[in-house]
Amino acid sequence: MALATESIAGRSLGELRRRLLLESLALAVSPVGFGLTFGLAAKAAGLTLGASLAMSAFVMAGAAQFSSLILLGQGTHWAVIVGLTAMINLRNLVFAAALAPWLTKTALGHRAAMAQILADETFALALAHFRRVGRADLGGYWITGVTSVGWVLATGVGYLAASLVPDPSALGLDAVFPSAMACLTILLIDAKSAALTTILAAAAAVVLGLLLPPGLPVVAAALVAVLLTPVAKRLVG
Amino acid sequence: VELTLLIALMAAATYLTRALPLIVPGANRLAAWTVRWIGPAAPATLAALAAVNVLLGPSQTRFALSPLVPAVGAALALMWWRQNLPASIAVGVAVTAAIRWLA
Repeated sequence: MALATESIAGRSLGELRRRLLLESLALAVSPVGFGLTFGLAAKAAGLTLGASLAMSAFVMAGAAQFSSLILLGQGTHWAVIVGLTAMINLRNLVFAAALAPWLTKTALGHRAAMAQILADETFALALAHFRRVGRADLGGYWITGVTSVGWVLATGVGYLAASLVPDPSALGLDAVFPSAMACLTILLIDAKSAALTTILAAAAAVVLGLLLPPGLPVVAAALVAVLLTPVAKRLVG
Repeated sequence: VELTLLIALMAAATYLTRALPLIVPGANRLAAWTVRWIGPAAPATLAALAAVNVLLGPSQTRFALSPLVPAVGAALALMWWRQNLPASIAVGVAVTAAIRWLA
């Protein structure tokens, strides 16, 4: 209610957009830091600068990009990588579903274009802005793309910085992959049941990793999580 | 060329998750169902990637107690405490480098 009142309280659309730009620039710090890290990791994984930038520009999904670097290094089948990419990004469905009611009068082509930059930051910024304005503001939505631009540029900077390091493992840069994966897990866990299934699934993946070809233990972990979730919800909520 | 195709497929898969509820009428309900049943697999996938990478190492034939174990543990602890991703990754890198330097 307080957000809705702001737009009634005499603020012009221009003022609200300037506020949105400042918020977007502040929030861009996170994707920029992450993009730098991805650039370092992509260089260590043997990707070219062009491939690293293309991945950040077109996939534009941090966790899935980090995962693909690990799986590529293990020689995992492409179908597994693509399937896991979709699975890791399922939360985007929620973001898009939440924005959809605001965009019923927006042209289909415009909505299709807007989807490309939909991510955690753009969703949070755009929804707050729409609520302040009291309607969908398409110009405002594209302002939130500042975070996406920062992500891509930072990937390039991180990649070029890594090129200056002769032995990445001496600096501990091989810890970037697993640290990023483990920390991102915490961001995605939203309930005790999710924590329990995640721990059990990871344990299963480690045991199966001794028996199965690379890539398959991760798929098995996903299946374990899906199957155990109803049980875990009943046990711990 | 293979990597280019893989990036294109990854981009398509990600785009579908972003676009479906925006461009397909009635996809909202499907989105809710999918997230409810398949959503828990996302953190499990990331945790599995980290655990296999840290505990089994590149060979994936036996358990390996490498500097990555305490490093990722420290990164996780900071992430749990401060929810700061870049700083947590930096701690993981610093602990790994420090252990290797001391060894």
